[in-house]
Amino acid sequence: MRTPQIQLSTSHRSPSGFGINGNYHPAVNSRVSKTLGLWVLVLGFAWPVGGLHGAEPTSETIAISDRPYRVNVRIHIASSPDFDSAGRTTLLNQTADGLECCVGSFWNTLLQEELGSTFSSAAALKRLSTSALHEQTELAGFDKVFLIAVMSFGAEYQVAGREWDATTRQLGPMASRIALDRREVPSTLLALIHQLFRPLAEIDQPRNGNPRLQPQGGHLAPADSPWPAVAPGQLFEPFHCALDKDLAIERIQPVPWTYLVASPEPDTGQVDATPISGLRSPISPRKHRLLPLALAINDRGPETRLTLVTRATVRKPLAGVEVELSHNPSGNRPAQAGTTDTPTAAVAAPLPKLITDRNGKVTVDAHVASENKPIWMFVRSGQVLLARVPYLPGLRPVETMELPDDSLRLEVEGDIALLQAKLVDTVARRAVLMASAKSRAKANQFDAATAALAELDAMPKAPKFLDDLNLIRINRSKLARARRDKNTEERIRKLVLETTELVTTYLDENKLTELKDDIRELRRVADDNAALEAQDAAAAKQLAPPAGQAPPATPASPPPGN
Amino acid sequence: MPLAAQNPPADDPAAEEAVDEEDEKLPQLKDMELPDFTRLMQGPAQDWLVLKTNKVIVVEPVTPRPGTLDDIAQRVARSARKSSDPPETEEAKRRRLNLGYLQVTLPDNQDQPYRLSAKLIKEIVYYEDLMLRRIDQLLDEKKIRQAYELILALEERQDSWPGIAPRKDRLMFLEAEVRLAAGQEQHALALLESLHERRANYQGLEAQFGEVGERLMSQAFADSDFRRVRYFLKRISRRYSGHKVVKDWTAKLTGITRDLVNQAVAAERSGQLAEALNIAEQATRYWPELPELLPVYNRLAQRLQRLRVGVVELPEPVPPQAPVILNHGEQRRRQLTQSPLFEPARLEGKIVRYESRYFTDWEPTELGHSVVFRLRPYRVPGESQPMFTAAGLAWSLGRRHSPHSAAYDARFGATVESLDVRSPFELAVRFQQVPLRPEALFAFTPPPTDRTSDQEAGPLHARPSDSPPAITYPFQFQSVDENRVVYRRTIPDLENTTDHRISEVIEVKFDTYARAVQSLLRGDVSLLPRVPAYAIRGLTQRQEFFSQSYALPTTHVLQFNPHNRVLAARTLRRALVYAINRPQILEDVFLHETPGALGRVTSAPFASTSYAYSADGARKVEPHKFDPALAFSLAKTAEKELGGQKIPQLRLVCGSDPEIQAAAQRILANWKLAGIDATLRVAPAAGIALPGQAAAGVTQPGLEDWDIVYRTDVLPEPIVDLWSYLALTNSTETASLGHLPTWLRKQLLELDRVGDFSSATELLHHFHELFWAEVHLIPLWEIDDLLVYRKQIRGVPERPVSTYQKIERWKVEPWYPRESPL
Repeated sequence: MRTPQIQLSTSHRSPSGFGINGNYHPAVNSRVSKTLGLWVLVLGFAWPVGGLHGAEPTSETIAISDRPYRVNVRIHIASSPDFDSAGRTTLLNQTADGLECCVGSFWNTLLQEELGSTFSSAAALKRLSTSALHEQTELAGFDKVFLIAVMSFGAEYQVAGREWDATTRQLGPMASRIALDRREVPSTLLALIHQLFRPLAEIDQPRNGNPRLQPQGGHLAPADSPWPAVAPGQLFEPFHCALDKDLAIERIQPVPWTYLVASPEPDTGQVDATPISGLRSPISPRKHRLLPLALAINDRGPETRLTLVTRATVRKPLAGVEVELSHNPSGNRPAQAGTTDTPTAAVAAPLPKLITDRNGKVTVDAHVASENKPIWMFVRSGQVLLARVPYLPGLRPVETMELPDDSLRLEVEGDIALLQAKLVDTVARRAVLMASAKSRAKANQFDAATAALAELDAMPKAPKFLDDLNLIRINRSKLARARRDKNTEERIRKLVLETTELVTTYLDENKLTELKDDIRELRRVADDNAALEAQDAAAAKQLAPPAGQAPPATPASPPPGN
Repeated sequence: MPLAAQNPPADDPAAEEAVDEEDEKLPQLKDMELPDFTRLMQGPAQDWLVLKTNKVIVVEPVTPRPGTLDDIAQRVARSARKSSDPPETEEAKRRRLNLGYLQVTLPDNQDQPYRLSAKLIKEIVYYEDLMLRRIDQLLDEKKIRQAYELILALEERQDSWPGIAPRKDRLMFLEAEVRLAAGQEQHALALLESLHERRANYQGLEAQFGEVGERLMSQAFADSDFRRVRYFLKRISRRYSGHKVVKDWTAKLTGITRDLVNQAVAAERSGQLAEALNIAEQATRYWPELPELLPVYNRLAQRLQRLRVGVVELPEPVPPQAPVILNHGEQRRRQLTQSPLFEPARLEGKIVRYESRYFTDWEPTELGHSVVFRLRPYRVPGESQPMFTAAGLAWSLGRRHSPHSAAYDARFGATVESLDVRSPFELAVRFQQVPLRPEALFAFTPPPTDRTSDQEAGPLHARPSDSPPAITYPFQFQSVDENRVVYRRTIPDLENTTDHRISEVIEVKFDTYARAVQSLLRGDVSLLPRVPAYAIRGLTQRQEFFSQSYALPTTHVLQFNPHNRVLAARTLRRALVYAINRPQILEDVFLHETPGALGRVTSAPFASTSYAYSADGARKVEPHKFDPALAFSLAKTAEKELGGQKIPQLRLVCGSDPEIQAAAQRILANWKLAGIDATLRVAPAAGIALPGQAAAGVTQPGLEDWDIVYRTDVLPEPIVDLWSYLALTNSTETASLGHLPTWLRKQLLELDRVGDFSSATELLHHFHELFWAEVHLIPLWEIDDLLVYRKQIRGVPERPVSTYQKIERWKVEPWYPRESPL
């Protein structure tokens, strides 16, 4: 069956609908624009599939900013009494008219009714996959393909669609709108296409400074167009496209955890971009066989199911890991002194802290990133920050993040916690016993003080704790070395070192020695006093006259102190 | 004056003259005032010498007493000279003449003895006589207390004084009257019984018995306490078997009983079995000795078997999803109204074994990667559980597997890969990871398969008023009031069978365990789910009871609210644990003996008999020792860690069990000594917000306003049960353990994945050590609870894991107490 098609008349009208090469060619386009000045309805005429693979113009031929989008709008209209043959034709015509009004020379559009070759319903639209679309030959030659489904539900009409960006091979999220009257369907459809449209741009990354974006058709879109090439503040997702020897895109690599915020300059058509990234230099400068591209983000799904795994080749799910979300690049944790008065920190409400499930998965709701602004995601394993990246949830339904395996260090953290608990007990008990020994000694209760000192001597000493710590460090470091995991080895060393400092600080043997000296001194003084008192008593006894005998008239020697 | 100093000669006329003059000053007997109660109690004792002139001389007590004058007269008579007697000396004559004199001492001149001729004395009113006179007066005035004290004082002076016994009798009789008038009938009866033993023929005693008995029995009858009626009836009939009151009341009670028996028979004939049994039970309380009652009751109670259980807590309204149930009544309600796929059945070695009502067998295949469950296509007689087909069960389990369902279980979802219905009664479950014990993984009540039962059962829980009550198995919540709760078997017994099982469980509430034990002894209830440890020995020696130790002891634990910022300080938690004198509290409150045989201090939340408990070897974990000085020091350190602020008042929540409340109060007192202030609140349940709710700021009123919870639980299988125990929620999502350190959380996740038993044991021992070190919870003690029941109850498993284990198969043989209440 042949597909009803409408080739839109634009200033750069493509003749491809009539068997001419679908790729942009200014000479052809300018010629056709003179012959066809109206919307042309072609029924029962198929798009020549093979014709799209002709001579490939290179990027050197014309700048991307002067290149209009080659757009294919495929509308599937569900069977309904409201949409008979005439009704469908009217709908397509009205949509085509609307597109012409809105985009003008910006787009080179082929509008056609979808009869089921690509999708057959809104549900099928939802199921579409990137690979399936990439392999469809009838979509080849277009930059953008809009897949729209129109269906009626009782008294209302639902219009749903997705956008396929052929260059970056990205299928956009599904969006839908409701029209309450059949006459509103074309305008709803236009609004949906606008909603789905994701501008594409080339990235110019200078050696220093922020990158610049060159949006496709940026010079073609009129300044007063309701559909600008790039809106201020628009968020882009960067891709690195590896080109083959013919400079055709061979492989596409998304730049992970990186977004670009566009700031278009009205006069030049160029767009400055501010990168938000978890990487130090996320965008590579353009090279001969490397083309950095950016695809706008305009709509997102309700959530992303993010899977955290260890790095290849093990790729073990990271279960029970904390994923902290924040509006602030420094996180939700209390800021250091002097940094708390930043407006962002003051205003932004804290976002939830999530924990990955048994399969290392965590679901991030799209609404946490309001106004299409990426949030910051901090992945923590215990005290260690495994990742700190900007993230826009809902952009893709599922995503995977590879992170280092921290299990060995966590085991050490657990072992050290156990040891620290014993250390806390020992330190507290030691303090109590030392205080008790001292107070007893001051009260001349030297037996009790000696007993307390004996208890102190029986308590575990610093060397015992240090031995245990060394055992932990040696065993785990050995395992880390076997895994060639230097980071973990270093972290283990740090953990052990911190605890070693605690042990040496709080179980200082000198304090105990000082205490023993003090008590010994107190005892000596007490003994001396007792001896003196005994001497005095003996002297007094000796000096005392026997009963009935008169005391000596003068003392034999002067009293001490005189 | 008739008195003369001893030195002047008796025949000195000058002295006689002087005596007469003094005599004029003495008071007349009629003018003498009887000493009052205080004077008589305080003394000093003084006798009255009544002269023949009716004048009275108050003197110090004379001797001998009583019968002083008789004694003088006898001595004088004995010394009278006869004509044949030889002449006497002057000295002998003087001695003889002196025998007729009474030597006295005046109160105001005690150094100077006087003598008085006995001929001048008409009578001597002794001090004791004065007391008796005063007692009589007091009794006349119904001053019972003073009279009693005076009698006691008199007995102390001379218990054989004539006249004491009649006064005592009168005192008892009069006191009985007074008590009766004051509404203290039982006291009056006791006095009358004592009087009866002393003097059965006391005038008016029988009539008084009748009056008191009538009053007592009328009151008991009005209170519907027929056992009390019979008790008083028996007491009176022991003394007066033919008393009119005895005859009247016996006739009244037997008459009522007979009427009730007739009514019960009529109700039975009309098919109202429950009503007939109610009436028959009522009849047993009136006059159980009635011969025609026994066969009727036996027939009815055999057909509709009822179990009466004595408890101290009835179920209280709690949110259906409350994770920590503190109310034991609610815990038992869940046992009766929930029918899990697998239940812990017995302890073998140190491992709890599971049983299932639903499956004939469950066979692991593919090296444990899948299990084929074969469902029973029939119910065994006596069972009361829902029937499942494989498809229905798969649908039900699917709900537990689906994250979008309210019944979602994250652990189940992560473990189970697929469900495969192989035949109507065969379900294959394939696992993503091999569970160590599949039974423990499936030890949950399957989510309901129909919408009507998709909510928690019972009128205790919020339910739309127009919705039908949910169906629960094996028993259905029937009714609840202040004193009792009734559950009824959901699948009733077959009509035509002779092999009937228990149909109703009635839990009767008592204020204290002592009352519950008393009720068991009297036969009002037949089972006590828990007996205080101190009462165990007394009950186990009795022949009419069976006593079963539970398979696992109940562990008492204090757990901290993870949302409390202050308790996040490990130092404070350690201060709390060292401050509690656990052995002392355990002994004083629960055991009333040295810890060891019936209960012991523990260091883990699971039983010390479990394989999970690290009880020996190098990793043996000893409970924290009581060390108040260390606790005080740690508390001060915690204050410093909190920025120097005083530790805020902590809120401890516990169940309403009287012993637990007492223990909690002792714990608070211990903490107070360590400088940590806390308050106690009683609540039926506790919990914390679910992870999602906490993030959204949603709170569960009544469940979350606590800092420390005192919980009593049994963890049959720590591998599975430990998660929800620590999480304090019903969720098994990893986020529910977000309050724990990552390393501990990771190890708990490892426990979920553990594939062999020795690794699991090793890991649990490690947890035991970690709990001790981190003090995430404070295990207090574990108590070997005992289930005590009458021997008429059959089918109770030996060493059950839970109170109502397999209850639908129990039998209750007809029995009611027929022995005399006295």
